[in-house]
Amino acid sequence: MIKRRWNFHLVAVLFVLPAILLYTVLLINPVIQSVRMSFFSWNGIAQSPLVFAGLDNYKELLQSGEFWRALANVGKFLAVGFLLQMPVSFILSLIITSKIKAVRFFKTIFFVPVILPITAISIMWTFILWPTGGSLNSIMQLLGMQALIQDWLGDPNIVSITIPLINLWIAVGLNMIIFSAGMVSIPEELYEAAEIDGATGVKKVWNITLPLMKESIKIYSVLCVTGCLKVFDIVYVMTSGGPNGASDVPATLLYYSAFKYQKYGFASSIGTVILILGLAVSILINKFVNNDELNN
Amino acid sequence: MNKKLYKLRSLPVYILATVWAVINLYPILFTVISSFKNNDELFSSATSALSLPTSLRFENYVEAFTKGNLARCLVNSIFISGSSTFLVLLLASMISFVIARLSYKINNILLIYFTLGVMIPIHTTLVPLLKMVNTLHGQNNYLMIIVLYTTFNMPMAVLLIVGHMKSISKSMDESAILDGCGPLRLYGNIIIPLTLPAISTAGIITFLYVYNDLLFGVMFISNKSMYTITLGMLTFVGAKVTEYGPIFASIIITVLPMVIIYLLFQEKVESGLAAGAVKE
Repeated sequence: MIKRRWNFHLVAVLFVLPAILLYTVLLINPVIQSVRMSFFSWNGIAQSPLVFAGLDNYKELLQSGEFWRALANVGKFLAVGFLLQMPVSFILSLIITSKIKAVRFFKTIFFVPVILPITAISIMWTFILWPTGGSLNSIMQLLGMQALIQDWLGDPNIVSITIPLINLWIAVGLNMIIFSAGMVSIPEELYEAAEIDGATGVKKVWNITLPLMKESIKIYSVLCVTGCLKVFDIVYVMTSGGPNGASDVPATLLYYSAFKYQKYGFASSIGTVILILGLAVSILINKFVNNDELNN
Repeated sequence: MNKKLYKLRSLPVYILATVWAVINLYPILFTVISSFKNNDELFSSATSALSLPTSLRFENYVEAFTKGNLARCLVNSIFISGSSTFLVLLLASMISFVIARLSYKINNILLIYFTLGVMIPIHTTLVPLLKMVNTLHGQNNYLMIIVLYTTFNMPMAVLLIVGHMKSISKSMDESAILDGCGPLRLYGNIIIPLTLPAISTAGIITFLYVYNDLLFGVMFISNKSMYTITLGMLTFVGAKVTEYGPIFASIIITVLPMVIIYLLFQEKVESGLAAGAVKE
């Protein structure tokens, strides 16, 4: 054990202080302030005082259709996340851990969307999804599928599914890597043994890979739920929450409430709800993982 | 196994892989192709989105750089991302050194305290943060935005670096200290070099996160000469222009640095971003 000398104590204090100070003042403090402000109303002018509002902001939140619609839209992100994004990520990670040639080439291409700025991706897709002359609708026209041509971002019934699908396009690359980390840790002998027993490709995946990937699937679940609660950039850039709020998510609602409508207390109550939901989900799923390990 | 049979079996895998590769590359390819077109080639018919340009109009790029002021934005972004990354690595490696290598009772609490920061949704902090920045007159201030990016990216870096530092054998420190090595030399000459893999990972993902961010730019920068590249590109796209080619060029200019970094440090970027995500 290191003998503690005065110079070690001094360095320890000096090394810890800058990080702790910045982190506490600029990250933890705003979170506490945000929870506090959710019980006040404030007009956004730095010098003007906060007015205590009790639970008014939360009452308004629960009674506003906009907030429930934003939560419903998160629900659609979650539905796409679990019903489509997870299987696609899983299949991609099977591909990049398989023995086909050009694995490196495919892995690189599959991962590219993850590293691009979401702002740029959103603009690219906005042009592709353009109702007239956009390439998606043009391709459908060429293939004779006129019936499927849509105003992908302008139709309020469709936009709240279009955006989660673009989100899928962005996110699968990263989830593919997370799944493949779990996949390569499965011992090769298990597959060889199964082959001797006559198991084929799909059966091997179903009976060996999937059951042994519980941990990765739980990690994915936490990431997916917390990620869906935090969606912002893609909606902000592609539709600004429109048309008419149809694609709003809690984070964009918070942003517009605060910086467009100057309802800072109301915005803080949205922030507090996102915070609590996010922490609750992380803790719940983590607890679930721990219990499961104890049981085994 | 019969070789022919094996090849036949992998055919569906190739098909699936190719289909997804096409879906993945198409938007980027479409943007590259469009960036060389003029309006006529972009919009003349219903299917012109699928056609090729008749010549490579590099003037679209020149226009994006000049009219969109993107050269300046690119410099701003690289400066802000670079400075934030440097500060994150410096501060995170310092506190990680204490948490991972010097045995104080409070270390565990410190680590849990920083783990909290990774779980907090950034949007929860926005209103109080704006209030604070306005009180300090910190709008349009390089130092302010660099400090903010540093703070918000530090928790992740601490988790990554502490994890790696803890795995280094403790006997290393003991023998060094017996030889009369002080804390600063222990940090700078022994522990940091051994932690370089984690530090470089943290550095790459911090740079990437900061470069790709839009939100802090939108909130804290209104002065056009200070725009980051994402903000500059978005503004250029939203401005009423008559030619669309330069807009597509501006998207390519924005993504190119990230593509280059990814191609240079593939494995590092992949494992780093995955580790970053899992830590959340």
